[in-house]
Amino acid sequence: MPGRAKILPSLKLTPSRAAAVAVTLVLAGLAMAVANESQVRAQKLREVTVQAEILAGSVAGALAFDDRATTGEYISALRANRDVEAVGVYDAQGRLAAGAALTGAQPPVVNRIAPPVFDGAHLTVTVPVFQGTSRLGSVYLRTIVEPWSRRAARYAAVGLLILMASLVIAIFGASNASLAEAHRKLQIEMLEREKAEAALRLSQKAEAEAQVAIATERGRAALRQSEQQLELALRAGRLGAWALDLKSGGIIASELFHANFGLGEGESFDRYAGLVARVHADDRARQQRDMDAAIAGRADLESEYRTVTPDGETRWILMRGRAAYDDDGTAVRMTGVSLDITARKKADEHQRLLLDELNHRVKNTLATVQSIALQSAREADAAAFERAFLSRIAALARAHDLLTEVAWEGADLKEVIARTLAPHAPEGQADHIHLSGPGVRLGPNAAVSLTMAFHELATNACKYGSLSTAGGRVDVTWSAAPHGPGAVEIHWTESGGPIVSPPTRRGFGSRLVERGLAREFDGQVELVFAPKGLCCHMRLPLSQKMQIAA
Amino acid sequence: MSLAVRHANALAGLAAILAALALSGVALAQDRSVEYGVKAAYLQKFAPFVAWPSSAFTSPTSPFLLCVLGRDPFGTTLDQAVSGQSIGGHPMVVRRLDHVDGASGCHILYLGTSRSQSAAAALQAVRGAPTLTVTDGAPAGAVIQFAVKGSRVRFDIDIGAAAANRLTISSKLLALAMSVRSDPGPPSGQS
Repeated sequence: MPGRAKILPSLKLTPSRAAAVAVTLVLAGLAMAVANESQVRAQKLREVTVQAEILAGSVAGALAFDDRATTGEYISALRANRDVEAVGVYDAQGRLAAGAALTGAQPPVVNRIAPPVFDGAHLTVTVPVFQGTSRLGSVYLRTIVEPWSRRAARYAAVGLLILMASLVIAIFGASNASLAEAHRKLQIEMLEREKAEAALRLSQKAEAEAQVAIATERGRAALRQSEQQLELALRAGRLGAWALDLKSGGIIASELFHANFGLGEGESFDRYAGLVARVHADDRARQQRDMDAAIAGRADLESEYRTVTPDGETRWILMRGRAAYDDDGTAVRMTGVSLDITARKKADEHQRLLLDELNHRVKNTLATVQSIALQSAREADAAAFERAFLSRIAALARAHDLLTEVAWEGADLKEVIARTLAPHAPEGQADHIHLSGPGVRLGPNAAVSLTMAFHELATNACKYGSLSTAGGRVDVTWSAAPHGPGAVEIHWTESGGPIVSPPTRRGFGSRLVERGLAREFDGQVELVFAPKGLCCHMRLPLSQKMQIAA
Repeated sequence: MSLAVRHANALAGLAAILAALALSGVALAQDRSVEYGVKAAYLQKFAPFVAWPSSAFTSPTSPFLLCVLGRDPFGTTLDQAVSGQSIGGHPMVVRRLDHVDGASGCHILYLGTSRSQSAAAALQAVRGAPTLTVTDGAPAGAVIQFAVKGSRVRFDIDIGAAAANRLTISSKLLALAMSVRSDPGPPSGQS
């Protein structure tokens, strides 16, 4: 109701407005009184002038013929008008012909025509007496403008009217103010209700939007989580993801996919042809065959091939995928994962090499065992053969143990000597064996050969040399050869044992040390049977089999 | 106060004057001089209360003729009374004539005693002419006839004679008359 809401405020009459209206009424009343006063005076002037002119017209004849009695009668007729204070009739010369003082002063003796004069509450009017064009005299009339009682009554009436109007306005104002207040409260209540409804609508809308947002966010979160899990799984498995458009040849792939092919950050295959170009030339035909077979057979693609990275590195890639087909059965898309299997391929290669090495070593060991058996068989009797054979096989086993511990990567010279001599040291006389020299790295064969050589030397020392007595000792020292091409010189020196005399014949041990070792290392080995103790000097050149440790 | 009372008072005053005049002849002669002085003033004052037809004047400024037929009883009093007076722009002039007729042009005609023309003949001569005829009571037939009642000069009016002469008498003047007749004949008294 916009019309009602527009109109009612305009009718709103507060007490202050009512007071203002009352004041306005009072002022209007005063203005009316002033205007009324003016009108009353004008009206009075007109009335008195008319009375004077009537008198002038009436007394013309009597005045012309000096009929004072008649003139007096006309004057007396004015006694009925209580407002008339004095009246006079004058001849043409202005002399008083007849006059009367009714309620006021006497009329003047001589009269002259003059404009009407308001003198306070009195009005004096003079008019000429004409008959035709002949002036016969004049009339003087003095009246009260308005008696105080009448004026008081008039103003009392005006005041009463104003009072009544003010009262009506006050009552109407109070009533209207009450109505306006009720209307104002109603409007406020309506406004508050509209605000509350608007707030409720906003709240409902926000709640609905929030629910949609939550649902959407949940969906997105789930999708993100799924994508993250997939990404995590792909990254954990170092799997690259790829999708190939079989019609256009376009390829879309993950960063890890491109990393599998050695591409840097920001580099990618735009086309399938770019990927094919990266396939090792020897594997390219097989890779294409695998693809064709998977698509034609609607089977999973599983293809391993090499790729050459931009740095020239060769990597092995495993590609797995499956094609998607349209309604016509035409393959349109193929998606899958890629995996860098270079490490696995290297491990496979290493394993194969190890197997070859094992096979080689087993054959060598069997050959060594065979040789030991043959050489040991030359011993005098079966019991000695058994002891010598088992002892040598045990030494060989310890050498294998040591090499196994270091994955057949090679062994330290000091470790080889210490382990070989340890079983031969007398009980509680470990200090009878002294080892000294720099670090020397031995290859597996060199370690086995030196193990067997030191085993023979130790066995001899225990049986005939310095370790056969309590005061004997063995010093093994080695060093880099000071002269000539690179070589290691090892000196076995026995002392404190029984007097040594050169053997009458060379046994297996001597042959193994002097010949076998020299042949193995392509070096020089010399046995010196000095009386103080056996000495063995070895000069073994540096090679892959023997190297000075860094 | 009614006109009857007013007239009664006037008659009482006039009777007192007449009583005084009866005391001596000198006093009487003086009273008649006063009487004609009043009548001379009346002759001049009748004019504003009478309307003449426009044909009574030859021009807007033609003179207003106040004629005295025969012996003039007013003397210079009349001349003094009309001196400087005008009626509707027509200057008032006194003419003393021994004989009048319809062509005399008199607007007011006082019928005195004339050897050459009687008052009755003069009345007859100006009958129908725009002339206000005034007599001292006789003969009958004049528009206004002076009369002395008590000590005051009064008059009677014959509106029939006025109408015959195409004159209109103001009611104000009629109100002052002792009697008003509408046809020629002996005046009837009023109390």
